[in-house]
Parts: sequence; C-alpha cells; structure tokens
Amino acid sequence: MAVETLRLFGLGARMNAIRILRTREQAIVATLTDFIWHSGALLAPVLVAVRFGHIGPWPAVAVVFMLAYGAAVSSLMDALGDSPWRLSYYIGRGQLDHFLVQPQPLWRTLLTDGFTPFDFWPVLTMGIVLMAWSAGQLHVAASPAWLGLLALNLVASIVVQTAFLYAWGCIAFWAPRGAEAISSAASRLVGDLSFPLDPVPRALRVVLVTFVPSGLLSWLPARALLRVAGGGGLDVWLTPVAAVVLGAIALTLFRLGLRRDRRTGSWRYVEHGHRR
Amino acid sequence: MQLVRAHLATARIAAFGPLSDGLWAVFPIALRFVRVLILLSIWPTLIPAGSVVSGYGLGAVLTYSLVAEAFSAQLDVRTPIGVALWNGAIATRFTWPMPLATQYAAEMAGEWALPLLLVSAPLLLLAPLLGVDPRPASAAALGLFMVSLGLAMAIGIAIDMACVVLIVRIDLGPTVLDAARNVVQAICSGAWIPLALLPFHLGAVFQWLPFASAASAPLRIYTGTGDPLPLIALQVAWAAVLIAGVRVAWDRTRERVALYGG
Repeated sequence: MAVETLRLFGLGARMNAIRILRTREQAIVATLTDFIWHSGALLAPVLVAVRFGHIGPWPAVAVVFMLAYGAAVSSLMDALGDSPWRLSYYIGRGQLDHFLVQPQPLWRTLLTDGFTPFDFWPVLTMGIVLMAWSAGQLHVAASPAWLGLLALNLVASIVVQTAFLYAWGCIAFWAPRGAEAISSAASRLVGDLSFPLDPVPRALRVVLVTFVPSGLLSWLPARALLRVAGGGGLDVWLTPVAAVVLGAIALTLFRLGLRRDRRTGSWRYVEHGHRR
Repeated sequence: MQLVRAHLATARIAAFGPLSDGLWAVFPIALRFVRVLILLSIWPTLIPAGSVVSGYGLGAVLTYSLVAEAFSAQLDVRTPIGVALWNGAIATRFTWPMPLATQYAAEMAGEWALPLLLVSAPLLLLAPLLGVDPRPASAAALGLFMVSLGLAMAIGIAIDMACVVLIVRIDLGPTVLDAARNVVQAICSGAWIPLALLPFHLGAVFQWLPFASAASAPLRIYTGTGDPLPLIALQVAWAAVLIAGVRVAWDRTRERVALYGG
C-alpha cells in the first residue's frame, strides 16, 4: 500500500520535473508564477506594516514572520496536490466518477493527484529564509523544542487548510451546480486574509479559528511561536488540536457526501444533466 | 433592439444560473463579509480617531474600505473570456450573433447581480452598525462617483481584453496572468489599500497607472480624498487609449486563436 503510494508520488514528481525542464522559458515561467502567485497576499500586509511600523501589537518584523509562515504552509499545500482546491469541481462536473473507476482506493487517488513538488520550492525557500531572518531579528531562541513546535504547527496548519477546503468542497455533493466553484471561493477566503487578527472583535476571531480557520494558517501559530503580546502559554497547541477536530469533521462530511453520491450518481451523465 | 435583448438575456441567464441548485451559491458570496470586517477592524489600530495620515482620517479610510468591498467586482473587472479561450469553450461563442467582448461583458454583469444584492447592498445598509459612515463626501461626489465607476469598468474591461490578447499572442495561461493581476490589484490599484497609505511614496507613482484609474479613482472621489476633475480626466484618457489599442490588438490577434478542449 505504502509502496504504491510512494510510486505514484514519484511518478508525479517525475512528470513535474519533465514539464518544468522541457524548455528554459518553461522553467523561468514556472518559477516566476509561483512567486507571483503567493506574493500578492504577502505584499499588501507587509507594505501596511512597513508604512505604519506595526499592525496592532505586531512589529513589522513579526508580520514578516507570520506571512513567511503562511507562505511556507501554502507552498507545501500546493505541492501536495490539487484535490483540496478542486474537490467541488471534481464533484460538480462528475469527474469524481473518473477517480472511482480507477483500480485503486479513492484516498490514494486524491492524495497523489496533482503532486507537484518542484513547482513550489521557490516560495517554500523564500518562506523558510524569511522565517529564519525575522526570528533572528526578534531574538527568538531557536532551540530544538521550538523548531519541533514550529514543524508541528506547520503540519497542523496544512491539515487545517486541507480539512477546511474538503469540508466546503463537500457541499457540491448536495449542490453540484450551485456549489461547483465553492472550493475556489473557500480558498480565496483563507488565502486573502493574511493580516494579524488581534484587532478583530472577539466573536469574529472565534469564527476565524473555527468555521473559517484562516487564523490557524499563520496568525495564531505565529503569535504563539513568537510570544506576541495577547497570546496564552498553551496557544502553541491550539492549531494541532484544531487540526484533529477539523480533520474529523471533514472526513465525516466527505463520507456522508460519498454515501449520497452512491445513491444519486453524477448529474453530468443524466439525460438533462447540466454538463450535457 | 434585438442585440440589446440578446445581451439582457445573457445577463439574466448568468444572474440566475448559480441559483439553479437553491441557495448554496449564497455561501461563498456571503464569506466576503468576513474580509471587510477584518479590514474595518485593523484600520483603527493604525490611524487613531482624530488623526489624519496622508490625507486620510479614520472615517475616510473606513468608508473607502467598505465601498471598495461593496463594489469589489466592478473595481476588478474579470470577464470569463480568458478562461473560455484557454479551455476551448469560446469556440461556440464565435457563432453567437453578438460581439465577443460585449457578450462576455453581459455575462459578467449578470454574475454581479447576486453579490450586489446579497453583499454590497447589505454592507452599505448595515455600515452604521459597523461604525462606518457609508455616505459619499457630498451629493456631487456621488454623481461623479457614478461617472467614475462607469469609466473604471470600461478601463477594467479593456485591461481584461488586453490580457486575452496576451493569452493568444504569447500562449500564456490565464492562471499565470490572473496571479499577476492579483498582485497588481492588491498593490497598484488602490482597491485594498488607499495608494497614499503605501510606503516609499509608491502611491505617487501608481496613481498614474491605468490600474489606479480602474479602482482608486472612483473610491477617492466617493470619499472626497481626491480632486474629481483630474481623476476623471485621467480615466477618460486611459479609457480612450486602452479601448482603441485593445480593439486594434484584438483585430490583429483573433486570427491566431487556436482552440482545443472544451
């Protein structure tokens, strides 16, 4: 099982390398696109922080750490595959059926589909370098324990984002036409909100670490790791706990959706389906 | 007359299409409330009440952010034409008895209906509850804002068509172009952050670009933070240059359109 999964990951990596290295222009465009793709969300908060010297209790350098953490999460997310971003399209357009007829478990198809590790290394590198630089500027003691917590929170943030996108994407099981693009809308929402959330009213902050957990993708973990004013001692464990809870919710929704899909089938292939 | 009816029908279909499965389509639209609430919460920590930073008091910048979100689709015009060109869906559109640009513009305008109804109107109505004064700087500012918004949309459509020309001529994927446009929109247009509040005097440069004419200009007129006449004059100039340039470019490009997929 693990061998076959690794083989598919290897296949994805090989195809990714072939596509990028096909021509020099292709390699340059792929690298630049990755930078451009992620820098939009990064630049606006940085420019505001530089202009005013801070955002709430966050000094500009801490904002850079937070955004670099977010860039590392999103580049790792992108490298790991397409399914979280495209789930509602797969379901809405009937493409899930293409996965179901493959001679392998659905989870493996979803896990390995679109694995592109070489597309996103530039932003991942940038994220790691900026995190190291800003942590140095803030005199953070980077002990092995701190680095372990950083790694744990990075993984937890990835799980949170995957679970969030899957949970929203599952709506397409019940509304294949209306919610076909909901994965894009959901990803835009968590991607657009890269500001420190300390000044946000408490009720909205609760929403932003639960139902729309963009706060768990960079703000809360960064605040806990940097010990920015306003955080608690246990905050560093909140994102991992949330990852477990949100992962369970997403899995339940996906299984319920699949159960419905077994009864109704895809609308794409019915006589008057919206894609015919 | 028939042409007008055809465009209205296209807009109507685009407006009601997302509702064919019920109200599910409302959720992603409603999520926009969250984004504007965050921005409205952050500004008071940066600009204390009573102080003015680069011509913006707290009230002005809050109104600016609220109106920018209410009209976000109109200030960042994206027709479906680029994606349709890339995936081949545009092939059948060439057979429609309507100009290509206007049929996609009609479709886009139809798609605006639901967000305007569900987000923009409630945002403006509920603004006082959020601590924002949604009123324009004056009655004249409102009138000039409408003129400026129309010009901004025209410039936006011209920029969108220019991107389509680029997609065809240099075989560039719309996702790549969209990524670049997102960066431009976030930084250079003033749709998120007023240009005057950018560091290093970047705003002084960006305000002359067409992206600012497509977003920042109407917002500055609405909030009374810019002189309307020079702003509108610049918009007229950009609209004339871009529309003429894009028409010529598209006429020279349309024969190069190669399609696959669909």
